[in-house]
Amino acid sequence: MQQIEFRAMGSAILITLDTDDARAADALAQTPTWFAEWEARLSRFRAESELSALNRASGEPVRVSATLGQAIQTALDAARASDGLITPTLLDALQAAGYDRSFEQIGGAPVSPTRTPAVVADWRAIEWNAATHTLRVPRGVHLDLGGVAKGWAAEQAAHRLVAIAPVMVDAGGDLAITGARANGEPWPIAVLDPLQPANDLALLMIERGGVATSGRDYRRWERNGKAQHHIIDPRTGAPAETDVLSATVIAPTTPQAEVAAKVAFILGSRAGSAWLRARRYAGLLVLENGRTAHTPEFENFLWRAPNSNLVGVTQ
Amino acid sequence: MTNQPNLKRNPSASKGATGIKLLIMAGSLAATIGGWGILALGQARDTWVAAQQIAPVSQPASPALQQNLQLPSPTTAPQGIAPAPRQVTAPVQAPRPVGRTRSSR
Repeated sequence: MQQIEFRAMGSAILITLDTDDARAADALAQTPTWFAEWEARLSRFRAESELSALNRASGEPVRVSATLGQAIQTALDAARASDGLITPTLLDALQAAGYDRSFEQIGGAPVSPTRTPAVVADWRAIEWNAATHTLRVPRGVHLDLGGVAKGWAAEQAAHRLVAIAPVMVDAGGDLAITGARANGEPWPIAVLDPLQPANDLALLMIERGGVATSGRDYRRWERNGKAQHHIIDPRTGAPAETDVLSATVIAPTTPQAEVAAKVAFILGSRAGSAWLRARRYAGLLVLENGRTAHTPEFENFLWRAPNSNLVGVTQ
Repeated sequence: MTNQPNLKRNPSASKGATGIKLLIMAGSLAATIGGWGILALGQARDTWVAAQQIAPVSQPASPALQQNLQLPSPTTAPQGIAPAPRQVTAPVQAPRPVGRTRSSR
């Protein structure tokens, strides 16, 4: 097994190839460059990024790169799947909440004076032509791809590496897994306990697919004495007010898992659990009162000791 | 920003394996209700749980709460309906996690 760790897209990246093949080291050594290129195009924090240029286009059609096009397509798919709860049109709302610079720069420091929550534009106003890679965003609407970019990047990296060996890509806690490990077993994946980050809450056995967690246990800050976090509810234009502290979802792809986790988080425990159940997602919610809840499907992925009469089950 | 990649070969398994807390199920109620499950963690103050025909299932997030949890050992496997599940042989010892999902770090 060979690994590489680095930081990109404001997150810790860990990539594991389950092989001792010498080619793996060469391939892994290229991965920071991939992420750097994606970040250079997709970051809203970089004035020179392609996304920032797009946000300055002010209603004019723009021909975009394959990378930005794929990320846009992923974001629009997410908006469609979530009935607009996960939308790329919330940059202004994020900035109004104080998330106007990278999280590392925000730290615990005070942020700019309070602004009223921004109205989040309807994602359906975005005109995207996949054939010509042309995008037109209505004047006054600005995009953020933070809701899908890491999941998309994890999936992309995994696809590029899978020909070498079974791979797991962990992009800031969003995971892409390509298939059983070299020994034929699924990958043991822990779920961090958001209430006690030094501990894990569960151990999952996953053969392939995506795993993602969304929560307000880490990326949060205060604004005028009020706690803020980075997950915007487009219905209010403000950080979601929810009884869910973190939501973890297992899905066929990482972007799907990322979207489902965010939807469950935004909707709260009652509506969020119903949303997950209706789609038969494997999901785990940790509530702010310390309780946990999960869908029946989630149990299929739990590691269990053999003598408990329960076995790990993979997708 | 990308910085200082750290390439490892044959690393030992991830740290932090201590304290892995397996979710456990209380089989009988879960089997009969078969829906979304939530566990009353020692105190029956889940008003929304009662309103939603909830089955008890999981382990608390906090060790302090865990002390209050007394559940019978599960006797049957849950009947989940994830896409095309298949059973695998579980290791006798809990394997060390090679990845960890958490909110964005």
